[in-house]
Amino acid sequence: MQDELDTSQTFALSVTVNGRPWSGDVPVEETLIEFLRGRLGLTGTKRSCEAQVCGACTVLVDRRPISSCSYLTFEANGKSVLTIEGLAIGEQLDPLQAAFIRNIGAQCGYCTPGQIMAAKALLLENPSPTREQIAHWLRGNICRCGAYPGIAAAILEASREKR
Amino acid sequence: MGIRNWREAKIENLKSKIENHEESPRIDLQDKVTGAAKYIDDLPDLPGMTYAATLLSPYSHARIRAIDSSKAERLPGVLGVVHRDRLDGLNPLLPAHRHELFQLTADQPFVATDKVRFDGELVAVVAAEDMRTALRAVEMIEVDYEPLPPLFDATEALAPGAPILHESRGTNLLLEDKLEWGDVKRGFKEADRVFEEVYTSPAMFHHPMEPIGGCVAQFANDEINLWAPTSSPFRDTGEIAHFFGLDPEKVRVRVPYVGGGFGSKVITSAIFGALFLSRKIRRPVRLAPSAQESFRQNSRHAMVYKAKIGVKSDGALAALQVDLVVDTGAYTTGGATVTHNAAISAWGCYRIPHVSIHARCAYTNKVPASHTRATGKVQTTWGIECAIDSVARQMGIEPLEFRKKNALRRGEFVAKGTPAMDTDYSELMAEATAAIQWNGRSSSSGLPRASHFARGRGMALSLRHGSQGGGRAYAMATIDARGVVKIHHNTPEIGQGTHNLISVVAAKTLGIPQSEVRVAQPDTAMQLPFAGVSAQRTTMQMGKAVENAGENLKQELIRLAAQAKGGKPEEWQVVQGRLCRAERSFTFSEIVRTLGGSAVLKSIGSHSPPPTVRESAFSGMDHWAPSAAAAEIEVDCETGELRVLQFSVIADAGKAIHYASAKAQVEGGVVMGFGHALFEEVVYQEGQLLNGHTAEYRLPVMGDIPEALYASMVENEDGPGPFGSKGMSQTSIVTVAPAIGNAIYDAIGVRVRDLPITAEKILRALGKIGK
Repeated sequence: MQDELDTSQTFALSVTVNGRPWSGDVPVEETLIEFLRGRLGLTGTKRSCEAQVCGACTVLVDRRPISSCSYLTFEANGKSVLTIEGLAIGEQLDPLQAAFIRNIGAQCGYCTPGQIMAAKALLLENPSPTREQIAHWLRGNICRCGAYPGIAAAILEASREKR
Repeated sequence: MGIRNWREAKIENLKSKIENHEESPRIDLQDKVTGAAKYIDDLPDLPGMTYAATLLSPYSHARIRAIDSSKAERLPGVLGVVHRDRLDGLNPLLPAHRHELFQLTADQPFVATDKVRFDGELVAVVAAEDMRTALRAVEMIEVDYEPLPPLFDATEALAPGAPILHESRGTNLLLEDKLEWGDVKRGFKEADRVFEEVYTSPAMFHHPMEPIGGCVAQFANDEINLWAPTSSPFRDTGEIAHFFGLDPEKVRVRVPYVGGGFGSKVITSAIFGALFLSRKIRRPVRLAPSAQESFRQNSRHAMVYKAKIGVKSDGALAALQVDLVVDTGAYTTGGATVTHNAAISAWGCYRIPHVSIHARCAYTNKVPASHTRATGKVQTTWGIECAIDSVARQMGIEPLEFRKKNALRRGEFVAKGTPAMDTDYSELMAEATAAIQWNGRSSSSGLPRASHFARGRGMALSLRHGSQGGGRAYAMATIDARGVVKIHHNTPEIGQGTHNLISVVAAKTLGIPQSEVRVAQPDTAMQLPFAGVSAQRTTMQMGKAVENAGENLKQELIRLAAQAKGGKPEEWQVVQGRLCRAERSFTFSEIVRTLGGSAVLKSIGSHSPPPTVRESAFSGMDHWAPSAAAAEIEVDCETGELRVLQFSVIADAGKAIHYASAKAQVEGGVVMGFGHALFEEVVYQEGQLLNGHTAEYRLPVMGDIPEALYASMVENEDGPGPFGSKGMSQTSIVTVAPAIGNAIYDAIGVRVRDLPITAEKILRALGKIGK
């Protein structure tokens, strides 16, 4: 029951987001997506199913993909968070971002930040995945527009470029 | 050339086609891959913003005895509550839906009054200082319900003695539609054989990844400012104004990027509630609905397709009679459009001299159903394309030959008042079958198999009618002293690449690079009517309006050039983005600057589709949107599991305005088609919607889609849109289920007739498990 929830408890957080350190108090029950969107204004991370199913809110914590809707902010203490806003270096897009544009790996674009971040985590772990490995890795990232052929092509292309 | 080589050559050809189109990147994608694209949830709060939560009915059918919101209203931070007893004299009935061919009456209050008629119907909205308080307040509202027996089947709803959902109507029948030509009785007499086939499609949910119904609503000083993801902002202004008794000009709707729609993104009941509360508490109100709420806003019509088909012994179709039962859910919503679209598409794409189609649309206690990608046509194509395959095989004729013989040929008319057939189906079929290395002949099903895996191939044709009606579409072009062209319009970017399309058409018309064209986000304050991004309308109607605005802007530039630099307007012309007279030429910027550095020239462009008239079912159409598809599948006869190994679809696009985007639309339709064919069904049981969340509703993921997905387009530049284009975004989705269903028959000799095609249904069809 929410009446009993003590909303006054906070946690003294130190976290790095997109390479920049951030410290401050956050409510213990605050999710990472609330922190990123609400406190830091990083609205590229998208809210959709809020149940760790659809992948729209995927960000990287210490290079691993997590669903920021179901991850409490304080769990990121002392860790490094990477969001879609942190991928490009200045005007220089990440090879994944450029490949998503070339291959129409996005249509409405709502799932796109999550798709790209999940793909980023994949390439960090496996720089040259097969299409099958890509499909398996991205099984938790739903694209209702059905841009999967473009997404798969983009990831393959970006992986070849990196090598 | 062998088929495999042919396919490789085609794929090479396709690659070079994309490269040769020398397209600029789609203009919205830079924002979308960097996280910069703003959707409704991403817009900043207005000063004094409040946050609203909704109370939805847990019952599919119940009488409301009482609502007590006093506890919620006393909770600190709660600012306002709206439900049936807190209406301040407002009539809660939403305006009747408009349809050019049907007279519809209003049947849905924005908050439930005497009854709730579906699981998820809006009962109350609470606005508070923060979202947490609003959600707590909603839980404190006590509603006394008297549960009533629910109806989840449209055929049962139409049976005598069924409980009546809208008592004042006295019947659950919402409307009927008929389409007839020839004399169907005579047709069946002339037929040598007559077949009967029944196919069903369940309710499904559009499931855009951005939830339905978010908004920022501000209603102050008798003026409305609304930001919302909607597909038809200009139409919405009229409905909102009508509901609140305002002048339409007092309603301004702005649309940020929209996170998918597929027909579902509309002004929801809760948005009307948010507007009501904003006026009452004199502060802006924000709605940010959950996935569960989104699921209860909209759905696709369940449908039963029952056909009687008469064929002559030489394989010529003689007569077709179709009975359709359409389930619109609790309220009218999209009932008229869907029923009409189903009726006028139920005959497929075939030459049939005698046709009689009768559609009945009924109320049930399901979530109200609205337009869904290829509205009405997904369900009817599942019916007619499986039925045609089945009839061909029962006649001992190859389905491919049967289709070739009976499909309308270029230039033929289906009936009075229709455009002539504008495609060559035999070419589409040849390409679709070759793309999966298939000679188009059936496997010899029924033969003993070496293993329990069986492979089969099947095909389907699609004939989506092109855009229909919608009234005049307008766009405005401006050019400033820098030479930057900006296009204003009311066309949301909902995923298809509409803004890129506008940019390409404007740039080509004016002969300037796309980088010099900006495309505004929709803003109804510009007073530019457009029926919205639906019904394959955008390329045709908005494309033509933008082309026209570009042409008019050229004339405006020419008039100014003559005035500033001399000569008569007819001596001037625009060549490759420059204004030329004899050997002198100027940039657009140089001419606009003659009026000063802050000068702007403007032009309006418009397009009017053919009129829609009651006398002709097909009126308002100006072209067809055809495609052909082929599938290769493998069935595990022990487990019933199905794998799609290859899928191809060839759409007649006339001319792809941006080839890569158009191809992605064709592919996207196929992907959604996979969901509808194999997984998706909104399940109702024991009075409730059982699987109303992403976690409980199986959507297609990348691994479901074969790598061998071949999507291509025919470009004969013969459409009525800009540069010979046609509407083509909805033609692929409808082919998927029947192509797969026909391939299953080819593999194992049995038919699944009820979507989705699950392993269980395959085993049942094989007689391996009981009914």
